[in-house]
Amino acid sequence: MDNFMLLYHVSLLDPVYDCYLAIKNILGEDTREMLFSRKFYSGFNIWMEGRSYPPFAFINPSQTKWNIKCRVKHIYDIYNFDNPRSKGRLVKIVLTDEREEEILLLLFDENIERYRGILSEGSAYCIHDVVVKPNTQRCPITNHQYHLRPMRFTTVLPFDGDMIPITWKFPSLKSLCQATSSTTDLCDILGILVYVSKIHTIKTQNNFTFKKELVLIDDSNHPVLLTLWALKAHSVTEDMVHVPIFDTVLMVKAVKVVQYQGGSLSSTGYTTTTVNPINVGAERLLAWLEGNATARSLLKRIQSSSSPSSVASILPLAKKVNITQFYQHLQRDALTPTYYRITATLAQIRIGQLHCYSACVACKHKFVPSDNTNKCSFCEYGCDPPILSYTIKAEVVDETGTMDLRLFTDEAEHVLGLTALEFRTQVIEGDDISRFNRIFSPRLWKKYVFILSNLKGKLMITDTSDFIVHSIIDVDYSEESHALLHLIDAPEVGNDHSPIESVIESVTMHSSLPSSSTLSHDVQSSSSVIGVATHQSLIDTSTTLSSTASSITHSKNVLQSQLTNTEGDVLSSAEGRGKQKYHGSHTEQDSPCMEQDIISVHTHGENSAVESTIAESSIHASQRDDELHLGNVSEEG
Amino acid sequence: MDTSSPAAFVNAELLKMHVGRRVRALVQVMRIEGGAIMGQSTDGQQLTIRSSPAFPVSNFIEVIGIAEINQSIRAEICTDFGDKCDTVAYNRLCQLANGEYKSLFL
Repeated sequence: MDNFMLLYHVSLLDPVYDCYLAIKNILGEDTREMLFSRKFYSGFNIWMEGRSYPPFAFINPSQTKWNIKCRVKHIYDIYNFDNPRSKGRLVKIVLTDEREEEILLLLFDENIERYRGILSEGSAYCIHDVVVKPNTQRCPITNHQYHLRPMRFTTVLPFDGDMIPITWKFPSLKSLCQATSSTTDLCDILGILVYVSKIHTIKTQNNFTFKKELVLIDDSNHPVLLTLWALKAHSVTEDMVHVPIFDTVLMVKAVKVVQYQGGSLSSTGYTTTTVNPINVGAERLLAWLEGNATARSLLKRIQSSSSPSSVASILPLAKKVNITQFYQHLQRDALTPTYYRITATLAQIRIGQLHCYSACVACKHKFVPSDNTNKCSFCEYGCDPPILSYTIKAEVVDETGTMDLRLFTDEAEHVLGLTALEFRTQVIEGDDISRFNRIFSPRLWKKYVFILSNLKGKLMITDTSDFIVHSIIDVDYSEESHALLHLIDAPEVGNDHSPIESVIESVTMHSSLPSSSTLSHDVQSSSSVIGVATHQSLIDTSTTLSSTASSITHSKNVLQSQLTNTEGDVLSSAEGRGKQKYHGSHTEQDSPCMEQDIISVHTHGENSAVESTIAESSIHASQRDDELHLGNVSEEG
Repeated sequence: MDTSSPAAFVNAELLKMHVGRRVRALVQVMRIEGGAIMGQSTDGQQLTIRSSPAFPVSNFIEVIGIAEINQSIRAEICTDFGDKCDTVAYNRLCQLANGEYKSLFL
């Protein structure tokens, strides 16, 4: 063995006394003075220059020991493994060379203490006589076929490694989650933190664990759900207690892509997180978000939704449809969920479908204790007490029809503004018969975007199957107005005229009056035009709204004067769209209410006309709270 | 509600068809000269708004008033729409409201 190599081996290792004595015995002299002499160091440097350090791509088992020049890119945490074949501790270190190729260095057991004190992230080293082994891991961190393991004769020498840069290449979050083929490769990601959920307890196949959900976004403008499991969930919590959302960049290493909710990320045993890392491009990401109003608007909508973690992953996949199209898209016996987003107005809360119950923390089912224990009979979880939950059934309406939707606690709270306890106290237990008007009416006639899937969910409480709302987000009025414009310009299939042209033709030609059934369809279609008209001019000013309403009311008067009013059919365009559908489903008691709505349009002042004519238009919720009293019209009338 | 004289949705191009009548237009304030607002209509052409109070430059305002010759409007009601507005949608509304769907508005 070369004397220089031998001496450095002794000097750099942890001064294992046995090793020192062995060297001394071999050389037969006291080498201590030689270890730190300048002559020795200069000689070593000359010796170093003559060495060749191949790029990582050339490393293979053709020779057992290799000499490499590298920079330490990342050191993972100690991983304890215990399987039938072996048990011990492992640290993985990612090394990078001049060509920016990567290879793993594995430290087992005692080598961890020996080398972790020497190797530090970001520093460059010459490592001599490191052994190469085939990469048999199921989830390789690098793409290299082999990995390296130091032995007792391996030496590590730091050097000035300017020629070995560290560049971080993060895949775009959009391309990661849209990958159609499954892979077990781990990857590193960089994203701006959008949302951090609470820690949830969740039941796995045989056990219970914790999870925490984050939403990240990068300059691919694709928000992504990242689920942190078990200990990762808790450790990340400590790091991110006070970090500001939208101003924090997270670098997460060794995550895997999973096909959950259409493509999301999941932590692994090797996952590490770094908050606001330096020299990786975090500043560029923050600058991108600062200058991208569209992305900021999307993120705010996600944050203000009923369940941000669910929305983030589903929203890009959810297809925008109306109610009629949703039913047309339904396939019998579909097994996989397909997500849709429907912009609709909350029209009615089904009084007979309100339920308050205790839910298991882990499985979210109605908590029914098994036997004499305090465990959930469904999942056997018993560590935490059940939580109070509630569910409502709501009827929503858009320009094409109505449908019933089931909303659970988060979504119901988003719509009603009531926690489960408040719901139980004020709604379920309250014996005031007018609680409907008092509690629900102010919440009706607001427009939301409902995200749901094509699969119905069966309720244990009622033993019925309903379409369950996964999440609710606020309406993007710009998107809605452009969608309505598109609807106007696209003629109906099989009809030379657009829907609105059919209505104009029937009105202006004074021909035989259309029956109420056909008119209802036309009115519904034409209401989209009215919707556009009101969309375009609706800003947060009552003056503008009243002016708009005057135009609509004028046109409505033209329609009404030429059409018969039979059996309380509502013929005005804005109200008629929803109310006409209601006529069939409401009781007789409700019909007078509808008639009074019409009366109120004609007799009330300008602002009331504004209220009713823009009932189906998209205006901001705060404006509508002040103006809409449709549920109370019967009282006022 | 007085519906006897509805204000037609116009841009600078359509204003010529409604001279002497009540119109409404969305205008972005470019500058203020001698009590009149020089604004850009939703179709990119210039409009002059007379008898109008001052509004911040670059803000969008909706003007309801009487259309005059020389691309101007004598304002009766002005509403500040803020600094963000979808002019494309409003312009399309003007085209629809004066085109094939005119009978719904006037």
